[in-house]
Amino acid sequence: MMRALVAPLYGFLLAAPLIVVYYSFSPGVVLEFPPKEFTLTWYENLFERQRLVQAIGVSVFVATFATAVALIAGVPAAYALTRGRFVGRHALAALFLSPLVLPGLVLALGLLMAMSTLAPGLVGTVWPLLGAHGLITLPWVIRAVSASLETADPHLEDAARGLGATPLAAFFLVTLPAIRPGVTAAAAFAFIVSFGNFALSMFFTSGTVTTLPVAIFEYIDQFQDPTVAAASTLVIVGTAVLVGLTAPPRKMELP
Amino acid sequence: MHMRRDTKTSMLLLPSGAIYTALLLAPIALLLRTSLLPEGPGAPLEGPLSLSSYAALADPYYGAIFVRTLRIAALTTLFCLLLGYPLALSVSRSRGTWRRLQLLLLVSPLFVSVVVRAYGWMLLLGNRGLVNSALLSIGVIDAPIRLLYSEGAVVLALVEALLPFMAISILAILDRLAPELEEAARGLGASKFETFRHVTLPLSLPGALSGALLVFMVSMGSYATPALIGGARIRVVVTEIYTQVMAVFNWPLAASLSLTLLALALVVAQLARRLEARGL
Repeated sequence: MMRALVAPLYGFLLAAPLIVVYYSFSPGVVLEFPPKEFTLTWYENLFERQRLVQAIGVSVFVATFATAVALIAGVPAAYALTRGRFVGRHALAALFLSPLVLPGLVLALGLLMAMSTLAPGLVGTVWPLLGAHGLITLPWVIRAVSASLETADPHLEDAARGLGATPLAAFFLVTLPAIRPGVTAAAAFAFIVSFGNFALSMFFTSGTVTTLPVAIFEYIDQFQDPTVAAASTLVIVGTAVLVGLTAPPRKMELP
Repeated sequence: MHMRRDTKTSMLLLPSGAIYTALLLAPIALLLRTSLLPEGPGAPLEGPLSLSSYAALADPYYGAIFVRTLRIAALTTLFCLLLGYPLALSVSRSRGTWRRLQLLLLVSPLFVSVVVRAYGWMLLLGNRGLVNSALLSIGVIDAPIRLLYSEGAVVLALVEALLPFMAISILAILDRLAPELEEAARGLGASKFETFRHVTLPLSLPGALSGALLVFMVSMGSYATPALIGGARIRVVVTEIYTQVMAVFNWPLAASLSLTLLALALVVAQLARRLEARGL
């Protein structure tokens, strides 16, 4: 009985992405159901749209950079927040996770104002995008890595220290291998969050520097054809591959 | 020895601390500073400190926008609660492949960009969308009805986007409940519904509360969904901020709108913490 009740809910959750995938193979601009035939025309058209292709490149670059920054800064921070015992730890943890719930557009507006006051030379470059995306991916990494550290046994690391390992060696040889699935999942998540983020990019795109969600948004505004459905489908497939490679559902830990 | 080690450990916070200072705290300070400049279309961002940008918010136009934003967030939270519970219960009661499949289905929408999902809803609900053409073809309606660009459509799309967060939040608590509690209630003669009503539901409320807080805050601050699904007709605080920045060039007003929204978010979070402390 439960299954009959929840099946429509799962249908509801998948409806929007599935209709986009379906539309990408639609021969005409008007969405038709049931389909008369399928076509790959819109995929060909996609590669002739310079702005969309460029945006894919920019998004990959920004997401890669943001993920790297988030890992380099986030893994040590997660370690200190879960293992350290110092005053203000909880307040700091709350601050570090706050970008997860604060309005993205407001954070972006703050960055825009800070940049135009303190570093106007950066306006129009890729740097503000990198900063904004670093800010939004960092809390995801801190949260996912903290969750893994909480389940990892701290005594193993103490044992390694007792046997003469330096703190750094104990971390890299004992703790890191233990939390590796969490770190991998965090990296995949950070990449996906950055790749899909829209609000934080809105103020920082211009000319050739446009992320894919913004380019999709602009395209929807101007044209009505399934080209962006094709782009979206490629992203969905790419994401599925990334998730499949880094976090097989069997071992998947919820963020 | 311990003290020294913890000082060393807290040094690990430095890289993140630098990032948050430069990219979160300093920008919020500058938002505050900008909000205190004289407001007006194309305001030059200089002049004496003033509260004019906050006084401007007293206009009923902005009052209506704040009320609509809160209403949309409240409705989204309500529907997420109603739909999130059955989902979480269903996952927590199943085992093996069915459980793994459900978890995968539950988190998979999170991996699709919010713009792509909003686009999907536009294709479904637009005038030439799937829903309208289905209704036309079976003769329920003679002309397309407007589904898009309505508050209902914005809530629908937000519920779809945030339901996984709610379900996961409730599930986290349900998975930790000792099955013996439910078994004991059943053994004492309670029906399945009574067991749920008097045992499972009260014990899982903290998960529902934290899920509700998350959903409320995120829907209050979401931009892409109201911008695409609500359009110019359904203005919420965040889309208004965008308009003030990019079209009206009234940065002080955009800043005061932003800070008022942040303050509202903090109040909501504080209320939720109170409720939690009272043992809800």
